[in-house]
Amino acid sequence: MIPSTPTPGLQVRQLTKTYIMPAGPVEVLRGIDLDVQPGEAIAIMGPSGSGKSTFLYILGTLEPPSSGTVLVDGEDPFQRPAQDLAQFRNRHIGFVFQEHYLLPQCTVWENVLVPSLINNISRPDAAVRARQLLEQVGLSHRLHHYPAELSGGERQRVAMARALINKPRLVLADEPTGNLDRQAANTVVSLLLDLVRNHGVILVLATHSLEIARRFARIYELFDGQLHLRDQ
Amino acid sequence: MTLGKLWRRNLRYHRRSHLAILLGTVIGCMALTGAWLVGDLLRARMNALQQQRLGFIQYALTNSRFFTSTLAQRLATELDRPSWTVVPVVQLRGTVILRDTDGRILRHQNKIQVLGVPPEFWKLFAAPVPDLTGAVAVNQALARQLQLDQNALLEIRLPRPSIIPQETLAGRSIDETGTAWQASINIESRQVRTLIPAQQGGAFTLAPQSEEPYTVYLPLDDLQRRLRDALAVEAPANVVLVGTTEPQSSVEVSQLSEALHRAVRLEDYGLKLRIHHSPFQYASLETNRLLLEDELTQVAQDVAQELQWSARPTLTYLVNLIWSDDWPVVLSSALGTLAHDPTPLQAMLCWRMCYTYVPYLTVSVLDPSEDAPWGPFYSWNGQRWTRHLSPGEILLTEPAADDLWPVGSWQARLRQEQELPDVFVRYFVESSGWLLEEKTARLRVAGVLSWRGSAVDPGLTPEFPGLRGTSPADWQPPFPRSQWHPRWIRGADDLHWRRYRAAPRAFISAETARRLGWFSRHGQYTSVRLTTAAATNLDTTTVQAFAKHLLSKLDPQRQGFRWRHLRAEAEAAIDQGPLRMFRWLFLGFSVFLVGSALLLIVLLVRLQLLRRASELGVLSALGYSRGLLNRLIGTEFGIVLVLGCLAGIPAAVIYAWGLLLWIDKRWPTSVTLLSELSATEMRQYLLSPTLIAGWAVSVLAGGIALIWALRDLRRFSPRELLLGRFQAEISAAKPGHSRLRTIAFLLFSSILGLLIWVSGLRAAPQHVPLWFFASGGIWLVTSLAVVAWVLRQSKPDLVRHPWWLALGFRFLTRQPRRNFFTVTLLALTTFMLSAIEVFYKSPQSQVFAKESGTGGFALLAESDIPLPIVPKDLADWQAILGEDSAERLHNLLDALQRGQVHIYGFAVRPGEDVSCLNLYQPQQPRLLGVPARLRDRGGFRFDKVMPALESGSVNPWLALNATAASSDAIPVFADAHTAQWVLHLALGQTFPYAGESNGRLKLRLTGLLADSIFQGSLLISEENFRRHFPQHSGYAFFLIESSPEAPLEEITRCLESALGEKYGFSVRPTLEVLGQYHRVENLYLQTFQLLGAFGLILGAGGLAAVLLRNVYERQTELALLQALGYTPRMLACLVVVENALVVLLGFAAGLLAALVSVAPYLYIVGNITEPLKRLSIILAIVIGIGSLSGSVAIRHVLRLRMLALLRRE
Repeated sequence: MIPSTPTPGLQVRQLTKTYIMPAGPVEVLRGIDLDVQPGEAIAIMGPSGSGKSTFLYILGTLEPPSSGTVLVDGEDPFQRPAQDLAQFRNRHIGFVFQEHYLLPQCTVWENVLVPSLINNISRPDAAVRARQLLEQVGLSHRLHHYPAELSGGERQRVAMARALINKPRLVLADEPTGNLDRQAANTVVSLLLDLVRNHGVILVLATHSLEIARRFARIYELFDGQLHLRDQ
Repeated sequence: MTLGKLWRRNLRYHRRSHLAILLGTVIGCMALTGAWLVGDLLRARMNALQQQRLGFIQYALTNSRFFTSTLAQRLATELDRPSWTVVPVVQLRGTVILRDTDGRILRHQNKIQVLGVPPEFWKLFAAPVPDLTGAVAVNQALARQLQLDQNALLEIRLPRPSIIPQETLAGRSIDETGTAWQASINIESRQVRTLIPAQQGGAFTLAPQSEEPYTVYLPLDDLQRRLRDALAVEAPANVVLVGTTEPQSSVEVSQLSEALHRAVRLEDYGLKLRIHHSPFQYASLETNRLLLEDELTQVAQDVAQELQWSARPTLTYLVNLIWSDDWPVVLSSALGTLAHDPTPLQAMLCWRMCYTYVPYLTVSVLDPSEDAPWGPFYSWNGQRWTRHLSPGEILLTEPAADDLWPVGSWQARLRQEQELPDVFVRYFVESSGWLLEEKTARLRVAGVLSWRGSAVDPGLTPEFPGLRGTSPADWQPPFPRSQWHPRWIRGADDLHWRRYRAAPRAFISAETARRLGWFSRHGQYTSVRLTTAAATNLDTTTVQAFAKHLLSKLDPQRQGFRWRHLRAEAEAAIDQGPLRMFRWLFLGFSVFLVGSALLLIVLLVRLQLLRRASELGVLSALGYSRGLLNRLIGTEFGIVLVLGCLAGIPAAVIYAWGLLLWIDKRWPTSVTLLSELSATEMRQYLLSPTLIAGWAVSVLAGGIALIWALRDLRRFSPRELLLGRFQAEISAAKPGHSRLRTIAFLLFSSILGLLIWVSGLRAAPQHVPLWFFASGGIWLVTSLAVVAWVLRQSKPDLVRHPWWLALGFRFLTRQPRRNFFTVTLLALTTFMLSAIEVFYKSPQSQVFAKESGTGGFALLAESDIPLPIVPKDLADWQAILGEDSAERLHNLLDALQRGQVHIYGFAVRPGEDVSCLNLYQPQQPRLLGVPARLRDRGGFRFDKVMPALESGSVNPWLALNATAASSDAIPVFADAHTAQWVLHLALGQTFPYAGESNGRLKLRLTGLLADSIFQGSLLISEENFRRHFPQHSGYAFFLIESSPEAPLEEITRCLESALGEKYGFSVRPTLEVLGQYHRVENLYLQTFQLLGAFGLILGAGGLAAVLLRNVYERQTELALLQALGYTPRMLACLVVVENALVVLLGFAAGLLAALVSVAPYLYIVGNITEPLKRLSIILAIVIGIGSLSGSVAIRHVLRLRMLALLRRE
């Protein structure tokens, strides 16, 4: 019996993205191919303006590609009708941004619950899961605090918990440590990696920090619009 | 945590931002609902005033002639509605005088309503019946005006009414001074026993009027006693009021008309049937107006025919003198018998003894050849008279012939078959002047009738006013003293009078009477003689049967009776009056304000959404669909809008109330709109459907604005929302593409605007505001399209242009949509303020300028009792004032001479004020007859005249000279404001006008006066006036021309002193009159400008919010510029430039649209210096306030912390 190659949780083929500007078209991504297995975490490095965030936003269905395909667990979300993309994103993708984008008017616990409000998860179940995630990120004692009362690292941990509340297949982190000091950054990345491992999700993290990237199994470099696997 | 909890959290967390939107919503709802509510409040208040004015009165029966007050009782009987009250009233206009204990005049007031009322009158107001025995009551308005208290003594002066047309010789009346003009009735000092409040009948008038009436109430029977002689009507009345206190009871006009038809009697029509037994039995139908209208005569004849009676219309005329042709021969022979050199006494005796004339005799028109019953007539020699009288012939009777020639002489001539000498007849004819016009005619004597049988018939002469006593010398005929010669009366005349009264002593044919001018336009006959076929059995019963039959054929309406539904008239006067136009104009201008508020809401919502973009972005990233986000945000903002609209409702009530209070305080006359609002009325307003509708429409409008703002978010991708970088905000349109589209749009809107503009020039006057708004709107859109294009253009080159201009322009065009909204807000405000400002009326400073609103006249005067002539010299003044005021006369003439005063008198047909001071739609405008003297003089400024007269060399007044035949339209002038806003008429348009005795005339608007003192009246030529309104004699409106150095106050004092007491004469400066009109017109404009002021506040608020937001979004960029060496002041300068550009663009767009919209008006006005001067001030204010709006943003820029911002980036 020939062992079958496991289907990648994330498959990207010939992905391109071009922006039409008044001064002319700008090709940001030029034919990217990528395969990531479930439970795997990769880092994407590149200088500012190289297209890392663009690539992540396309993976996260926040923007459509100009051409190429993205398959998440074998499904191309861009084949769905536009109104279904949001649902897909809600259920299958989690985001962690450089700016945490916590809702200042909601508590820590509520911020984590926000994605679940529109999911089919029962509220009690979601509430329990939220507590668990916050416990995992070490913020179980801050459940009813507001974002303004947290440090930058704590806010980012809340964002991580929020990203996982709906048990996504794919977690995309766009420079999640960009605004943090070194220690906090390391803590956040460690937590992220643990969470990803424990929940079996794919993690794609964009960073410009080699130190952080080195903690990942695979490091890609994005330049000239193309992804290159970096030799560890 | 639920979605519901999330949006509640959002609502609370962002409450400060929501507050701004809430305020914008409150203002928008307030403006929209308030605009409706102002109209509602005004209407409701005017309805309440009408309710107060009329009490429980529903209908009024009126007639220009007086009738018997017992008609009211008969009407009530025929109506058979016990719950309805029917009350006769006498209503007249007059003057009241308040004197001190020495008899000097303390105060007087003209244009007083004098009401003679029975006790039942007060029932119609549910008021207590005051005891007016030997006293009077006045309403509180008059008491305030004259500073009266109870027990004050008042003197009342009324024009003596006449039931006979005044231009006829019988239509005059003599007063104590013998001036024989429209004498007055004086009611000597009466105690003011009661003050009548407005709600208890003190506000009563027949027609709605803006000002409080000044009213004196007398007991009806008291006033009737005074009028009885003048009117020859027992217990006269001229109005019957009908009303009920039961609201569910109703009566239709048709029922009232039927009841009137059954109730009316001959005496109500001024008719009577007199039974005569000599020379045979007949009845004569006569009228207290002396002349029977032709229609009445015909009806009587028709009824006679139906009943197989015989009828003969008859005219009997009072002739002043008949004398023979050959009197000098007879005189000289008589003199010869007395003396060669007679003394004057002897000559007079001779004259009297010569008997060659007959004074003051009656002559009748009949056919002496008629058989019985109307004949036969016999000649002096006993032979039957068998031939008709030819034109130019007169048939004398024996007494007349004996007076004209010596006894026996005429008989001898006739026996010899010689013709008798011609006779001369001197008589008065119809005239409207001070003196009666006298004519002389020569007639051939056809023969002499025997003084017996049919020839001796006193019944031929109706009861002539003033002809009574034992001698004709005792008569009080209606002739001016200078034209009445009682010394002509001889003993023979006394004898004849005592025996035969006014039996005619001569007869002529109808054709002769026509040639003499005895047939009047008021009627050709003084009676219709009636008899049965057998000329017997003419008793009271028979005559009553005839009367009944005659009454059944007479239509009360054609005899002047008119039912007026006073309540319906009041409602129509309110609905069709200036209120309607004001309401629409106010609503129209409010649309601009509401538009500004909605724009502000859109702006603020967009700003808030953009501020919360990252929040929306993250929700989108978390899988919240667009629809869900819209619902979440929509609910949040929707609640703010709904709450704002709810708060806007009481704000609207306060706004509307405050506005009306503001108008009330500034209205130049004593109209009171709001001061006595009752609790019931207040409750009605607060539960008014308008508030609910206003709230609903405001919510809808706010919802549309919200949807528009949310729609905008669709343009941003979730990424852009997350990052807060709105690439789409910056115009990505291809310049070529944008320019093409802009040019196409500009062309289209310009053409459309031009078409609407041109159409507006030809629009009906009442539609002009609609065209103005449409035109203004299109031009505003056009100018804003230009602005939108400017905001998307390439920027000034950084190298070639100053840094502050280039960078400032880039600041401006970075957020084109947002700044476009702000520009639009300012453009709307500028448009409103500019467009209104040019219509302001400046006070006229040059009163003596002939081509101006005053026509060069410094003073204007009116009198309650018309003057018979316009006095020019001492004789005229003496004729008017009598001879008992020499000193006063001397002072007056001295003042007039020094001031080089010329007085121009206008005939007046009383009616309603058609100026802007009247809040009600007038039904019957006041009419002035312009004298030829003024038409020749010219003057005043004309807005438009009929095309034929547009040449500058022709005096426009001459257009009034055209004398209209009865079927043609009479040329009329009106003030342009009156024509457009009150009567809704365009130049050249024909409209109906009620003539005398229910006739209808056609008037054609031939000229429009610009901003004149004639705003309250319509003007026709005096000749046309006299022709069509002969009932209104004399002059009651005056313009007084004087030299610039004339002592106007002294002239005013002298004129009022001389004429005030006798004629109710009052003088006012023309500038004061014009100023009153201007104050009202400007008050309307100020009200509209208040809206502009609100708009300015909104615009300033919007501009401040946008600038602050712009600075906030760019603060890291500004921090970077600081790091590059730009000082805070330089950065502030950039904000100032951006602010200035927004303000200037908005200002230019609004001003351009306004100027184009009002260009036709500016062209007409000609001199635009004043409007432009005022406009400059307004626009300076707009620019100033707009500039101040940026101060908050500038302050923020000056406090930026560069490093902190850069470190964040």
